[in-house]
Amino acid sequence: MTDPVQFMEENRQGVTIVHIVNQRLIEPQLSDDLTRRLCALIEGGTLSMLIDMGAVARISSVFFRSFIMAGKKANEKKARIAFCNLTPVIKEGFVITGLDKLFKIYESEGKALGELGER
Amino acid sequence: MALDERQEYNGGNICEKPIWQSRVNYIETGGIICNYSNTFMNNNIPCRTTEIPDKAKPAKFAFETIADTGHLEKIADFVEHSLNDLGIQEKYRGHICVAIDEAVTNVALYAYPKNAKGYIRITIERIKDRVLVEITDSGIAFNPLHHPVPDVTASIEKRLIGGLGVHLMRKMMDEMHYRRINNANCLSLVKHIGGPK
Repeated sequence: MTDPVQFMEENRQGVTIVHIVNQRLIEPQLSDDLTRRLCALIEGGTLSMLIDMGAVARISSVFFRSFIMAGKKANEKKARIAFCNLTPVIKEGFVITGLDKLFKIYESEGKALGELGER
Repeated sequence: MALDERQEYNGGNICEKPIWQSRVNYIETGGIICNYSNTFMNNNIPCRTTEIPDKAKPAKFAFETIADTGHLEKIADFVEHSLNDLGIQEKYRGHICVAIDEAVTNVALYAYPKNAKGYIRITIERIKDRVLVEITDSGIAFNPLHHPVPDVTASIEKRLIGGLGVHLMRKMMDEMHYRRINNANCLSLVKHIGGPK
């Protein structure tokens, strides 16, 4: 049985930071779990979400679907989703698939909070 | 532990006729079955790894298992170990891993009807300044070269959620070839490891 996506959530400066703990996101079953949980956060009133990918070394495009679906939900709710700490290869994957045009990508959590956080 | 071509390692048991063997259309490798890494041999996933001797240092690795999403982690382990043992630089490894992840996920999800067990075989070979990856299955014919290119410029409202995997394969690798041979899909992916990408 596949373990669910491991998350750690925190709220700083009005931003919900989702730290994904899994090193690999390649099992498709997990993508449904990720979609459900990201959408639940948006449905629950999160207006600004930062997804920290620092622990993730490999990701399959089935998880890009999760991000796109969460992005659609965020768009409906006037919320925003951003990413930080992408490895160079994952960032390249975002660029190739145009996800970099749908979501803001930051080099680090600090830089992201500098722009997204409440002052 | 040495196994011959008609034996499989299955969770600690050497099986003469594993349940899925009849579905397998083997490619003759001329290789030997060897205990390439215990990582692949420590659970109940039927699989075999082949290290094909090439003079002193092996330059080709093969892995075969049931095409099931529950085996993707094992395949990922095999790919990482193989690329490492082949001495592929980090900057190319990432691209190759992405392309293989996408290809094997497609096979695991779509190649065989639900509840039908079929195989997937991955070979990784280094030939001078190229890495050749071959992914074979005997599932439903699928030519990724004919797969439409997704619109990656669409807005979030209009964005379709599928079709990104084949697009990533195309972009991450330098060559992609497809053949349908003996009712098997054979996808070849080539990475030029001396080139600009």
